[in-house]
Amino acid sequence: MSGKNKTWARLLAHGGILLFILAAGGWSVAHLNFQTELLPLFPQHLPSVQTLAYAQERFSSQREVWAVFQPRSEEERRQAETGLTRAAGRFQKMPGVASAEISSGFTAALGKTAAWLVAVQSPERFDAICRALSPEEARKRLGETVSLLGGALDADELARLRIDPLRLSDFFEGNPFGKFSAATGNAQPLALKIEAVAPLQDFEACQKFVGATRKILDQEISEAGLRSRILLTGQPAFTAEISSAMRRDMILMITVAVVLASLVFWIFYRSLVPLLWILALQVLNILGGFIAAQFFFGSLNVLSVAFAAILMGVSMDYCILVYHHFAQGEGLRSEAWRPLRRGIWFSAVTTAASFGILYFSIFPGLRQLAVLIGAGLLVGAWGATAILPLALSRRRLQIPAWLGRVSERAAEGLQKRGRFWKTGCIAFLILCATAAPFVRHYPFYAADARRLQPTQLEAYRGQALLRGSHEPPSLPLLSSENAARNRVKWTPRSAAELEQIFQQAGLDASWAKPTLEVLSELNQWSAGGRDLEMFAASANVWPQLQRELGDAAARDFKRLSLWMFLAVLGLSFAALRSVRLTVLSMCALGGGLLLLLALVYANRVSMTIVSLLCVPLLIGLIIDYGLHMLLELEHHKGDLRAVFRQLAAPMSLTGLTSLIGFSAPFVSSQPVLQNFGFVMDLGVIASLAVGLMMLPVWYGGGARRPHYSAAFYRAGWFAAAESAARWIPRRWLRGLAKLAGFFYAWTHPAKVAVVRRNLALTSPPSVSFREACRVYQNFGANLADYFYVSSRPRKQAAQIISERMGYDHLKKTHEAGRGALLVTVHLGLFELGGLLMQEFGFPTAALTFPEPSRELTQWRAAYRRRWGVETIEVGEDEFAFFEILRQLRQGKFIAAPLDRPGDFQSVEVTFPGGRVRFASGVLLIALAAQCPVIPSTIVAKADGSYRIEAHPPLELKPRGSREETLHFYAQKIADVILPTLCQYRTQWYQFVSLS
Amino acid sequence: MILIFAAPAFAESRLSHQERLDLESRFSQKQKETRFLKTEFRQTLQLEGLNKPVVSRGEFFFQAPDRLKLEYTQPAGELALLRDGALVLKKNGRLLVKKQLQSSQAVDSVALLQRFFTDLTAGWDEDYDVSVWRRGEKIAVVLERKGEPQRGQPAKIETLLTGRDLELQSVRVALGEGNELFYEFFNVRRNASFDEAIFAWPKEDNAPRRLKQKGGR
Repeated sequence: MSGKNKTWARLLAHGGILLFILAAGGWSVAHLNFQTELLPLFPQHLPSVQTLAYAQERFSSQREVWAVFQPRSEEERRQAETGLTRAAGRFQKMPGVASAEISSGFTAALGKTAAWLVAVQSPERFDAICRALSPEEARKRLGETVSLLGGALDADELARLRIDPLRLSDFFEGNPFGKFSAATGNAQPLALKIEAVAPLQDFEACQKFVGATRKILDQEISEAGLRSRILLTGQPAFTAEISSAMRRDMILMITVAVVLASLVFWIFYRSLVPLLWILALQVLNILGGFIAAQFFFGSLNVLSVAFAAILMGVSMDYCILVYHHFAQGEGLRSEAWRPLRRGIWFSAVTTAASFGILYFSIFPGLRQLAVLIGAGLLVGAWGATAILPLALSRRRLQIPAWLGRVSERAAEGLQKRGRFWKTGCIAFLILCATAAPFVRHYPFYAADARRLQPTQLEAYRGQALLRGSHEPPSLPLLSSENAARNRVKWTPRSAAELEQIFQQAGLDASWAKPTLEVLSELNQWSAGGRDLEMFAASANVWPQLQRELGDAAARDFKRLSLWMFLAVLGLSFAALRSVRLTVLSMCALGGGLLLLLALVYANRVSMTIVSLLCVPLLIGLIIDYGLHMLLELEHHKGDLRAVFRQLAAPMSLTGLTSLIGFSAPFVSSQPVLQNFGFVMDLGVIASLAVGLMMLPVWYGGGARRPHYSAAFYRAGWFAAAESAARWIPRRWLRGLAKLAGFFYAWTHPAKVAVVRRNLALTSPPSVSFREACRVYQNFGANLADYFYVSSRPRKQAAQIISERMGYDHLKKTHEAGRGALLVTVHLGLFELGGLLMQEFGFPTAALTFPEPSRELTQWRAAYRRRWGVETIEVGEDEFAFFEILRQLRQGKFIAAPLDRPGDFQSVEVTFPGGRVRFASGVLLIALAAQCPVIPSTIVAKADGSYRIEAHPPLELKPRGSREETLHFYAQKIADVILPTLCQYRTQWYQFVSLS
Repeated sequence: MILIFAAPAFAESRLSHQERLDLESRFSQKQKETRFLKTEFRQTLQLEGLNKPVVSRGEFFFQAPDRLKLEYTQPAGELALLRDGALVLKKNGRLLVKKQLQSSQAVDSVALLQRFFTDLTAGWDEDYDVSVWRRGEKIAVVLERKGEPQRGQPAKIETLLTGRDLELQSVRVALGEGNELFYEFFNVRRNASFDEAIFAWPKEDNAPRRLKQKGGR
């Protein structure tokens, strides 16, 4: 397929994806079931969650709305009663309303509470209660009750007798009736129950029904003071209030976030249309999240949608990086585009993976978030790398000059005070370690489920009023053994008979009602109903929920954090392909988390179960910043000024927009969201500090690093490899070494890039990554042979040389009694030349630079000595020149590679793809010794054997100036070697940058 | 004709501020002169949903400055004793409740009665709207609670005194929702000789430890 066709195919594919996201996203938004309740976000297997769910289903119907009013005087009670009665009449005529009646919700709750207290008494006490409920005993007790109303009066006792005329509570352990007395007298709230014909399933239905209810109440209760104190509650009221509050909050939050982020973007770049593109792409991300949510769940909690701000925080970063790239005048064809695109994708995949691990959480809320954000991030990366460039490449973009200046000054400041910042980091770590014992009891995470209670809601306050208290009465727990025993013993009683006994005692139905309710509850309970037990459990459920959620979150965190860490570690390594950089990245992650904890402590806040989400976000942000920073540092070889020109502005801008995005919940009415936003802001600050300061400071200068692996280029490894080569067959040895070479290349992209640039000098314009990798594979195979040769008898070792060319040139030179300079480049297994020269009987010495360690220099010198090859080290020894001259005059062959001149004298020679520096000092020696120079090459053939070729000797004659002479002969040598070098360029082990 | 002559006896008029002050002054003077008071009483409790009101009888004792006792003869053996800021109730021979009363907590009817022996109208203004009426030969002091009554607090208290010598005749405490407590007093005797043992604490062995602990709120 031609380049143009490929472009069209790519455009079509992206267009198709775009259309799919728009269409499927729109459909998902229309069909997604948006939940408003918190309960489905919790693990459904927890007993407390099951209890709450049961209580919600049984005790708060989706059909009932309650209007509750707490009168402060008899006058108010009368007024409210009149108004509510009128309203009830109107409700009954309203379409969609099944019934409307003034009722007491609390009496029902009280009945259940008292019944449960009866149920959990000890068997002896329970038997006594059963006896007290028998007709004869009940008659007697009621008579006594009436007589107790005479004589010395006690207000509490009167209240108790009013709701417990049979004095069943006499048999209870302790006196639990303190809390019941609140139900008596005129403190009891007025409640109007309005029941819909059908359950109100969605927000719209709830909002409509609740709105109509409120309107009628407003019309029928004329006193403004009373009207404003009527609270609407019940499940539909909760749904209506939460959904409208959420909608209001979300609109407000998104508006604030978008306006402020746009303002900051404009201040940074003074550009409007690209900003609109970037914002449009954010919508695309959210649509992507919705598609995934529709596919995986079919529903989404509105709280999860609110957390979509996380998406904005991270995916804006991708867009801003791309914008900055284009604004710098770079395009899709520039060298910087590929690493940038790669960085964005790896960042998106890593962050999506760290969130994706949350899919295995036991919290359904986290599972929703994992899918929503994971999918959104991937769409974000796609939009930033596929769609945004199309929009930006047609525009003339420019970066304001001040941005560049500020970035460079920041880089200079960081470089100049590098030691200060490093000391600061170490001091911070020491401080954290020292302070740890003192702050370890600080509640960094407060699993206080009460924080999740929407106490500010009218529906919540109404419900509390209906229940009689904000604090539910503490009841004996569900697991009471007494309850199980008593349930079997209970014999259902007749309510009618008991009511008659009350009447005979002179007490009307209002006196009998509480006892009859208790009786009814106990009868249902003994018949197998779960209501009573679940009611008792729900009264105690919040502390239990708090405990269970805390435990579940801790278990989940332990279980998932390891997998999350492994995913992040693996993907970071895949992106950076360097152990050192990956370790640095992980240190940044640890530092960022530590800094977050320090900031949380300094601000005296605690993370809730919701704001705990900032941990994966923080991981995502640090990985994102870290990847871009480290890849750019590698790309620019540690040049911080260049890196900051590229990254400081977009990263700071992203940080600012994220801060703004997460500050938006401050304007919401939800304390949970406010806490979440604040902790997220602290997370963003920690990420920025780590990404923009800690990483560059600890990265150090990339240019100073050696071209070899400091870990493996050691005498010990060489000795070990030689030992291994003794018993491993050559084929296996070469295979293993090739694999290791490939792995090294894959994990060291920066080094492969150097090799690619070097190879391009022999084959312009460019060389593929794969071809550069082959250099490492071949190098591995050569190393295997290097150790193979040393571990085998000379005769067997020499068998790997299958082709020898130019022997006559060497022989003639030797027979003439002259020494010669054997010049070569780092091509193939050039050390093999020593083996052959010994076979020929030609005395030889090799010139080398000092190895990184004395041991390795000695090891390699010993290796050469086996074939009679001496080692002359050139470097700090200023007399090496005379030693070489002496040996040449003695008639020795001196082998020297020319293509790695180091800091010594060199001249430029022309290669097909550019100019390369060749060492010229050694040619100067040949000129002084008047000995010939023999270009030679040793390369591996396809079958694994080697071909050695010595080219015709060159006699060096002075030509004009010394420089001219050196340049002339260096070029001549290059011209002789180049055909072989170009043919076998994947054996040119030139790992040092020649550009 | 009889109605015409009897009309002044039932006529009701509100006392002026000055008249009220005079009344208070006279009442205080009378109470200051009282070291001991003994009277018979009838207590009627009317509760919503109760077919018949519950009537109790007994003797009422007051010793200046703040001791008070209701000793019931119907039902016999019950008592309510108030002294040193504490209330002891003995009920049906089996229950003894001991409470520490707080000055602001005029919840119990016994505490209310005690208050009437020191302040007829003064000092009530904070919680109640106070009005004093002349009803024929009698004086009625009406207290209506300001704002929302707390649990157990009276919504309205009406005290009836003889107009001439300001002797306490009855106290009616309205508790809301048709609940009412009514005390009537007969044969009032002041400063007669009395036995100090009337106000003695019940014996310790009558006050189980558990109940003692419950007191002291």
